[in-house]
This record gives sequence, structure tokens and C-alpha cells, in this order.
Amino acid sequence: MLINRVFYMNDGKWKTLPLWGQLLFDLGYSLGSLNSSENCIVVGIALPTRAYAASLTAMGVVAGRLSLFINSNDVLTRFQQLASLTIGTSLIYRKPDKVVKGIFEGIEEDKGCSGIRLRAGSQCYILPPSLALQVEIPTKEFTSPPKRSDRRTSNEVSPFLSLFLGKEVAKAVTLQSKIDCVMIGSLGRLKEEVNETQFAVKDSSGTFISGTFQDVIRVRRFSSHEAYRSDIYHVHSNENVGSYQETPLVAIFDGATSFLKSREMWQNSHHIALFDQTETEFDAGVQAFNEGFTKNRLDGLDLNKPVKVPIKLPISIYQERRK
Amino acid sequence: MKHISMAVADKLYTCATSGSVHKHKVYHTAFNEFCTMINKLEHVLEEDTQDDYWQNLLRELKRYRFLLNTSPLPLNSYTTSLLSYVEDSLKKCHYSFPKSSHLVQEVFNKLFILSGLQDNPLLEAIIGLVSEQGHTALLIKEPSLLPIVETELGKYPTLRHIELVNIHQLRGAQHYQSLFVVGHSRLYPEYVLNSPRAIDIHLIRYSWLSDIWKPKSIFLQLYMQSNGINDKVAEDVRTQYEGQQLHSYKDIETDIFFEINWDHVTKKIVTQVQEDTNQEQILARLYLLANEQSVFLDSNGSTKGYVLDLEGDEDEDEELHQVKHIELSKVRPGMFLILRTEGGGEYIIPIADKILGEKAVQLRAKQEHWKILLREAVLKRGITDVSIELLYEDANRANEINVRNWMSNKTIRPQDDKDFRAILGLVGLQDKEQEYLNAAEQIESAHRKAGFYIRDQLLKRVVDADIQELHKKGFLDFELPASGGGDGGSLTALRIEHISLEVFSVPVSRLGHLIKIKDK
Repeated sequence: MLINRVFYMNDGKWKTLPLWGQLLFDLGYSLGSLNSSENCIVVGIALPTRAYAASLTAMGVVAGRLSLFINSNDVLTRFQQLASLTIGTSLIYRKPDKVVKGIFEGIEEDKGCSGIRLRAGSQCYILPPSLALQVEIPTKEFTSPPKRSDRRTSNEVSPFLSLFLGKEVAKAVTLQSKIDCVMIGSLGRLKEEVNETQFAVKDSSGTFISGTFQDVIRVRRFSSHEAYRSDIYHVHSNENVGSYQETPLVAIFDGATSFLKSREMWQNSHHIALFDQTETEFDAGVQAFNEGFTKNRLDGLDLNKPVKVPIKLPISIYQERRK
Repeated sequence: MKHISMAVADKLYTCATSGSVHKHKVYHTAFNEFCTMINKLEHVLEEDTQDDYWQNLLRELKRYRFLLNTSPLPLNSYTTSLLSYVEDSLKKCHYSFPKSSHLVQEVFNKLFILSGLQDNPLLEAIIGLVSEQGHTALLIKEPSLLPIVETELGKYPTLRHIELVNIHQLRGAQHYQSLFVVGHSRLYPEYVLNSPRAIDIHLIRYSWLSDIWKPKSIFLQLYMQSNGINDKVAEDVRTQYEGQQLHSYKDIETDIFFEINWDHVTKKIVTQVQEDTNQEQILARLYLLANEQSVFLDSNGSTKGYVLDLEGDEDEDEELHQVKHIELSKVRPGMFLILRTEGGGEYIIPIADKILGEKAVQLRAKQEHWKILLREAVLKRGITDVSIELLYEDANRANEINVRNWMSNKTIRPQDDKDFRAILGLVGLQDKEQEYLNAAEQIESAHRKAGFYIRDQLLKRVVDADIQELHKKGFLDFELPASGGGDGGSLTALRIEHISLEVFSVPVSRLGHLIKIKDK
């Protein structure tokens, strides 16, 4: 998958993704492909507009995370998370051809191996740890045991996703749910960007195969029953993010207001602050970023590879101790 | 921020990463002498400048200097009235400050020379630089000058394609090949030059203003080689005027940062409205608006108002509307405040009453009745005792501030039923509790419907409105149709130019009423 081979639609023609778009994707990719670390990376970038910045960065984070396919840490973390649940917790098990709604019945030990015991109506599943990422904790508990414990789903992988991530990864993405990143910003605009912006990659015959951000970043809020990789919160959201089940690897703040209001809520994630130079809170946002830099900055930078800075946009990156 | 296409976003990045700032200096002997003279006057007067006489004179002179430094206008603009003012001041000066009258005379002489000149050095510089190719704009510092500058540009066929923009528009997605910025860079927000909306920015100023603008460093430490656009600052290009030798002038740091003296304007308006001391007073902030209007609005940040926000994000209810009902603490200069033009500031009540129909009078009378009784109780026993008594009556939020709010005609009823019941008990209306609760509920419901109706009508008008014209004029009138629950009437959306930091005690009846600014 190469971002410089992604095209966007302009006046009915496909055009190569601009360099700034590639930079934002690469930035997300660098953080997405990080292995677990004691430290958090904090990125600040001053942009002429916030348009597409959060979506492209999120696409980079998800692609970066999936480049480590299959990340055993992620699988283990999810398994441990499931194992710690109270018996009776609602769960969703995503099979290749159907989604199963069930109730957690604990961890079953069999011949030295542990498995997740899931009750779905009269059926009982024992799921090995390797399938942990196919098990989700729904945002709301089922109020009553589902009448129909499972529903058929389309197993079709979008051709755009297959070309963008590779067939194997794309197939896994449709089954495994995980929050790689959260975006905090303006829901209406982000929804339009994520669902409406047309991208394309060329297949071997040179045909443009189109898709959207949503094909890749799979925002939980915007998907009905599909597996997800990210989520979005409104900048003034009163939703209780403290009860969030997973810690996203990266929190993307779409604008200074988001950064100022929400950064404390996502303390265990890497931060990417997208500051729009024309927004009213720009100075306050940058000041908060610089204060964080002065107070918390640690020496060094645990990035696997340097972030490419192909064009002249002011970027600052530092790392701080995970809180 | 509104949704924009990837292609438009790309243009904005191109401006930000490939753009250049070109600085140009112009010179004009007579105007330079006038500006220098004002500096000299201030310098010589020293502490005397605190006297009202000198303050008023200097304000008028500086305003002229400011306008002519920041807008491409002929030098004789505004000189007729200013000359007459200075002449009057000169007469007074002979009596009040005879030792300084020669200085005022000198100012008068310089101004007299300017009044005979139609020279327009800043515009001449633009003419010399403008290309007919590409989308071009001229940034206007003082929005009220837009029509007069437009007239000036209209005199030159080569300048007619130039679009006039204000600083708020440069926050949006509009972008240009060339943008002319007149005056000192410090007069404009940082983003105008740091995040430009044009490939070429021409910063044109008078040569006696030293302007060492360079890109502002944003982060304490930049990652690797990242940088902003504005390392691309072209060396000063000196534009000569009327054959003047550029080395013949003396560089004088002239203070042109006069702008509008908001404090002065505010004080005048506050004095005007504070005369009525018999009325209920409320703390309010002064909003100075386009079209030389102003208005007082409640200083309580949680009070809501209707605004037209052309560039803003969605509101808290996640609705992406340009017409928003938002807390006043979130209202910013550049937004358009929606106010009733006819019949006072309150526009919800007449429409709500129309919705209530025949019941309106009776329901409003009930609302007024318990408020009168509560006010009487406060008058008799004092606000502290009434607050305590309400707490004994099982009120949840009875404190002095809330009791004041409940007494006020601005509120319909307390939010909490328990508080309302406690009040009704205290004023002896416990037997008719349900009747009063129902009346308040009906009024609230009508107010909500009226709010939706107004928003709906405004949205329809905004869709049809010429946004460019709205930016240009700074205001837009809305006629509400007489059908659909409303009684017609007109509303105006006026751009907010300034919001006072200070709060003032003003009569409640003055809230939301437009007040003409007579003197900036």
C-alpha cells in the first residue's frame, strides 16, 4: 500500500493525492506503527485549514497499525480485556459470515489453553485467544438476551480496501474491531469528509477503484454493524469517554478547541494536535502545546522512522512520560 | 469551518507553502509632514495631552491619519469636516492654550495642503503592481470604508476586478492569486500573513513606518526541517511617488495604531443609557457592530443569542447551521448578531404571543402576577431573607442571583419545578399552583416554537442572501413573513466588530436595543 498511489476526485478526474495529504497520512502511519512504549508522542502541526487533516491522519494511523498485521500485542491486550469482564457482559462475536450477539460466560481452560466462553441463545462458543480481536464489547449492554442471536452479514471486502491494504489484511479488517484512533472535532464536517470524499487506487489493469475514508478508518459512529477501527467524538461532547473500553493508540484533535478541551481525557494515547492557523483559539492551543513541551518533554523520540516533512508546514514533535 | 473540497484545500496549502510576501514602501511629502506634525504635537504637549481639549483634537487627527494609512483613499478624503474641526479648535486654543496655538496652526496648514490634493499614493502603488491576470483582492482594515474604497477602485478600469475583503473572510476558504494588504502588518491578525490566502501578498505601507515583519515562530522547537511559508519574504520593493527621492525622508516611527477608540465609544454610549436609574439594572457587555450600531447584551455568558456564523463549526447540538442559538460567551467578533430592528430588541415574545393567540394576554398576566408578588416580597423583606425563606420552602437553587433572575422579566420561570413551587408558596399562590405551572409551560412552549420559526425563516433568507454583499456591507436585513405564526417585522444581522471586556450596569429595557454610534 502506497499513499502516493492514492487519487482523489476533482472535476470528474482522478488526481494524485497532494503532498500535504501524504504528509498527514505519513504522520499518522508513523504513530500507528509504533509498538507499545512507556512514553506518549505528542505532535503539534500548524495548518492553513483543518479540512481533511484529521481524516487523512486517521487513515495513516489505521494503515500503520495494520502494517504490523497481526499484532500479537493487540490480540493479547484484547484477550486480557475480555478476560477481566464481569460474567454476563454483552459481547459481539464477528464471524466471517455473521455477527453473533451473546453473553460472556467467563474464561474456559481446556488442555492448558484458555478460551472465551460466549453464550448465544442455546449455542455456546469457546473462542481461542487468537480470535480475541473478533470479539467486541458493544457500546451499550443488551437490555435482554437477543431474540435472534446472530444475523447474516455480507462477507464482501470492498475492492478499494483490498487494493489499499492488501487482500489478507482487508479481510481481517472486516472481522476485527479495534479502536486504533479517536478523532475529536466537528461531527458534521468529519462525517461528510469521511463518507463522501471519493478516493481511488489503480488496479493491475489501470482501472481506478474508488472508495472513501470510511472504507479504511471504519469510524464506529458511522458504521451500522461493520467492524470498526476508529471513532469520533464531538468537540463539545458530554459523552462519558472515561468509561471507554479501549485506550486508542492515537487521539487526533481536530482544532485547538478540541485539544484544549479534551487532551486530558486521552492521556494514555499518543496525541496529534491539528491547529488551524485561522481559528480563533489557535494561539491558546499552541500556547498549551508549548507549555506541555516545556514541562513534560523527555529526551529522544521513540519513532521507528522519522516523519517525512516534504513540505513546509510547522510541526513540533516530542515525547512525554505516559500518565 | 465549513466543508470544502479537496481541490480547494489543496489551493489553501499551495498559498501557505508556496506563497510569498512582498513588501512595498510609498512616500508622499505632504502626508509625511502631516503625520510627523501630529507626532511633534504629542511630543511637545507631553502631559497636556490628558486634557479633554487635546484628547478630542488628537483623536480626530489620528483617526484621519489612521484611515489614510490603512486605506487607499485620496489624501483629501474627510478633510472638509476635519479642517473645519481643526479651525474651531484653533480658535479655542488661542484662549485656552495660547502657547501651543502655533502648533495647531501648523497642523491646520498641513491639513489645508492635503485638502487640496487628490493624490492617492497607496492606490498608485497598487496600480503599479496589479496584474489583470488571476483572482485579486484588497484587504480592508476598516470595514465601514468598503463602499468608499470600492468607489475609488471603480475609477480605474484596471482595478475593477479587485475584490474587497475583510479580515474575517480570510479565515474561510477564499483564496487569491494576489492579495494587497495596506498599512502596517501589526494592524492585521497573524493569520493574514502567516497562513496566507494568496500566492502573492503585497504589503504596502508608507515608508516612514518601520515594519520588520517576519514569520512568527509557532512552536518552541520545530521537528527537523519543517517550516512555515513565510521564510519567503521578498526584499522591500520601493515604489516611488511623484519623483521623490526615497533617501530624502527621515524614517520616523509613527504611531498609526489608533484604530477605533473602543473605550471612548463605549464610555459615550454607556453614559447615554445609564441616565435612567429608576429601572431594574443589569450587568451587560457592549457589542459594537457594523453600520455604526451597538447593542448591550446580558453579561451572563450562559444567556443565549441568535448569530449568523458564516465560517463556524457546528453547534453543541452538532447541527451545522449558519444560524445558531448560542451562549453569548461563545459569540466572537466576525459573527453576525441577529437583532430586531423594529419594536425593540425582543423578537421572541411577539411571535410567541402570536402562537399563543387569544390566551396570550391571560397567560402573560399570570406570569407577571407572581413576579410582581415576588418583587414586592423582596422589597419588603430583602433579597437575602427571601432567598432563605425559599430554601425553607424546599427550593433547590434559591440564592440572591437566582432570585434576581426569577424576578426579572427576562425569564419565564425557574428551571426547577421545586423552585417555582416554593416561590408560589411564598407569595401565597399555593392554591393555584397547577394553574401557574401550566401557564408557564405554555409560554415556554410558545417561546421554543417562536425560536424555531425565527431560525427557520433566517435560514431561508441566508440561503438566498448574497454573502459577498453581506461581508461588504456588514449587515443584512431580514423581513419575517406575517404568516406562519409570526407577526412579520424585521430583523437585522450585523457583524460584530468589537465586544467590550468590561461589564456595565444598564437598565434592563436597553438590552438588545440597537444604539447608533454617533462618534467613533
